[in-house]
Amino acid sequence: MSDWIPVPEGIAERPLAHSVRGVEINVFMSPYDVPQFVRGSMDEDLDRFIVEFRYLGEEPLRREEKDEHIALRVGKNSGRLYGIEVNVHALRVNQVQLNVLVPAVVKKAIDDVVRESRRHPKRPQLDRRENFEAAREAIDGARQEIFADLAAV
Amino acid sequence: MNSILPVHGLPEVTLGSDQATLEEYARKTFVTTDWLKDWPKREKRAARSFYGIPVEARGTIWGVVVLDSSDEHAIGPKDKEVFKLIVKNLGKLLEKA
Repeated sequence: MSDWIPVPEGIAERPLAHSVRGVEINVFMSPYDVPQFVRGSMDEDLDRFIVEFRYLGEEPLRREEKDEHIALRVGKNSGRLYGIEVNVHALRVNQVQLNVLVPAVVKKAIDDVVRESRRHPKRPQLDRRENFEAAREAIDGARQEIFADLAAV
Repeated sequence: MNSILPVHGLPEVTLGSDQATLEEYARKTFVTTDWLKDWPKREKRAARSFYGIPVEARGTIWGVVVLDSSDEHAIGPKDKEVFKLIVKNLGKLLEKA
């Protein structure tokens, strides 16, 4: 299992404009929604490459299958993104292609959930866009370390 | 809404405040002017800045910690880090309770 990589302070620190009873206000993301650590590793038991996020708090998780390659680990209570599982063998590609494809598949998985949450802004259980975007930023900041484990697949 | 809400630069509210001041304060703090008119009778000084930060336990919002100050620009970037630390530890304690 890889070591946790600290997510730099300051990601997702930009103000977010909201309208409350007709008044425009600037709010900031809850510190609970910003990943503190991220890591990527090959789980030999599950036979999947997993990108995980760690937050201020902990909670029970549920697993959501997105397609034959991707499953998400999501907080049961918060809907926060805790992990992305990639079924590397279902991708049926060689080692070199794997190094390119897995990061791309992970990126697409987050892009998809961000897009889904935009489509359902009134459904709180899906409206985790800011958290998903913070998770995407956390990956972008440590891409090389997160996917280093792919070389051992 | 699970977010940090900073409110600063609120006008001073006294018994003699005019309607425009009351309306500005009410608009920025989501209270009514009628409620606000009675405030100086109840409290010595109206807060001029607020900082609301959610506290979670096991992924559920447990409550909100609200800090207020009579200084209209009391809360700076360093203070925000301290508040984050407070809610982090409070959340951990609640998870163990």
